[in-house]
Amino acid sequence: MNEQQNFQKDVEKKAFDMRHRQTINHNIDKYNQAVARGLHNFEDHELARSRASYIKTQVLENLDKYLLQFEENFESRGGKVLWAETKEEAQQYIWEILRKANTKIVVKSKSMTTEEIGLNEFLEEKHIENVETDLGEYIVQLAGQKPYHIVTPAMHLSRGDVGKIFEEKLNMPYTDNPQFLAMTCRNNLRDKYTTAEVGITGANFLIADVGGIAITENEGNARLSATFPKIHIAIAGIEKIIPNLEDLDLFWSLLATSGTGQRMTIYNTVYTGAKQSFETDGTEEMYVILLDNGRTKILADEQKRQSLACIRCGACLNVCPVYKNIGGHSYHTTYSGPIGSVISPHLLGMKDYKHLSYASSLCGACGTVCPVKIDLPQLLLKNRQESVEKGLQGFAEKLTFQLWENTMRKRARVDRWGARWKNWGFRQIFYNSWGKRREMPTLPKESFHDWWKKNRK
Amino acid sequence: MASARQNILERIQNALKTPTALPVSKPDFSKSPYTLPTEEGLDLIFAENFCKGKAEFYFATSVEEGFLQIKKWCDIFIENKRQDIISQGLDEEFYPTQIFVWEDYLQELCTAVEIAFNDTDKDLQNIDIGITFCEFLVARTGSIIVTSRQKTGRRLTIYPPVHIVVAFTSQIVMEVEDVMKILKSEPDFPSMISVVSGPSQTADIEKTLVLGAHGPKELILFLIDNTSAEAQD
Repeated sequence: MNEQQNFQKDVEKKAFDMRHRQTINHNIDKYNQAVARGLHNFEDHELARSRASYIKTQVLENLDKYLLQFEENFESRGGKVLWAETKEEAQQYIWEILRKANTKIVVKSKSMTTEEIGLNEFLEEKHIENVETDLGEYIVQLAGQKPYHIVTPAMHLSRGDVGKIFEEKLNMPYTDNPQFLAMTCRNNLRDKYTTAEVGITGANFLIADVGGIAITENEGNARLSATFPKIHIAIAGIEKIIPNLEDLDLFWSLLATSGTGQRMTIYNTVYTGAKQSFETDGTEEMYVILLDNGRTKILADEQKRQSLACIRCGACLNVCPVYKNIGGHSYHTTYSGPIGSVISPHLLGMKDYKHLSYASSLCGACGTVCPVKIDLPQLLLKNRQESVEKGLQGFAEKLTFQLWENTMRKRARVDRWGARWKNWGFRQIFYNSWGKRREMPTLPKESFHDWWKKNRK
Repeated sequence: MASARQNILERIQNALKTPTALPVSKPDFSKSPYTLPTEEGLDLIFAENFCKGKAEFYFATSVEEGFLQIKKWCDIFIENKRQDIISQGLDEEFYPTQIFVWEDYLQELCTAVEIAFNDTDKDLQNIDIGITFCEFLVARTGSIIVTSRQKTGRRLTIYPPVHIVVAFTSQIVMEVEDVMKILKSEPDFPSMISVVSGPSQTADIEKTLVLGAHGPKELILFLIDNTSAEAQD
């Protein structure tokens, strides 16, 4: 089965799974209430979005200069920047560092970029104990699943589901009390932070003028992961750059409001390197891996370049009627929802992932909530255009459209068959795509053409 | 892989030969996009916003008053823990309350009010309370800024289950942006700057708020007035 068929099969199941729908609606309702409250912190949210959009656009137009500035400043404080063209290269860099440090345990904070490079599977192969420390990630790791949502990895699991996972995997008595479950995670991980040799984190932003990375989190697990281990590795896409340390004020505020409805996320932390000579503690080495993995392909498209402005807040997922029905796992991609549908075909191949750009009603909701004003509906259309221009539609689709065009161009061809045969033909053509849950319209016996001839006065 | 850097940079430069098809015109950068504060004065704006979060807030008009409050807070904590240990049938001798204080001036002030503390990092895994200063307070967001150039390092502001922060009203600025400007202008730029806006929390299970995910479960701020007319020496 190819990706598209997989997608259709999963979607068919998920969209009518009432328990799934209930869990997602519950979570997203709570998110919506929080965002409505959070927006009160802005007098002029639109202005804030315009600023962020402007800054990000400027950065992308000068990306090489900012990356070099970042590299120079970060390395001047003792850190090391590693450039990775592919996920395999990024894995290899990490492996080199882990091997040299004789690493047995890695503590990892939540990072979609590490998902993108398949770090968990890679470390498993290498027999490294790799501990996800974010509670949501910890849960999906225990369950042997992938994160369901870029901000809320365990959004699809009810408290009862989590209780069962903990009961089974951690051999503890069943409880569905979130407080108790969270404390179990806390207690299990406390020693991990202090014994792990390496901490691996993502980065929400790369800051050019001071050569630093910024991490946004509520739990404190990323802070602990970049405090106790001797080595801190941060991995980030090359597009995460912002020019100045002061810009964080705007981006942290927007990210908090769009991501979780908070005024500020609990811990917003900047790291510019390992422990400095005048400091009492901290890591001994810090590395930043800059990942391309297809991003320069997106950059080369002067329309879709805009999608690299994304700050991964997840707002477009939460507002998307398609995401809410089919859920995050159906996409089979690291990045789901509207932004995932826009960028995944470029990161993973248009041929296999073009269908995601069609899985949209183009309602426009995603574009209106995006804190950096990415025109997501427009970019979905651009993907559709590109896939047609490249001739990537299947044989049946091409043939159908050719026949359709041929027929529609001439009245006589339209009228060649009677309504019975036309209806039969439609049923054949749309057999798979029309869906079981809606009725196919039928053509009346008399065509409009004939009716018009008869009734025209 | 040394050429990876060059390859990526080349691809970027080639890509950017064509400018974006969707340029963005420069918006107004002169006015604040945030909601105007209802209170007057940095101290009241800060207090208002800080108290919207889940942290505890205490205010004192002098250092002495502040540290007597802290002493009292710690005494109650110590007694509660003692009762808890006894009720579990354990020997209280083996489970004393562990308070860690690493900053010199703070050690002096704690000693003055007879708060017993650990000034090393021995037994850190048994820490109950960490008492620290901070670098700044941000009024608009109600945040506490800690950095790794404080003697607390990175550890003492994130590892303890209870984090007590001692701050002065002179440390309050309006925006996070102001903090960043000041830090950039100073020579010993820290390797970690953390903007802390409440106790550690998670809502990963059914969006239900739980405090103390991995960092401090309780964040307590003792704000000492050293700027207003009522401030005592």
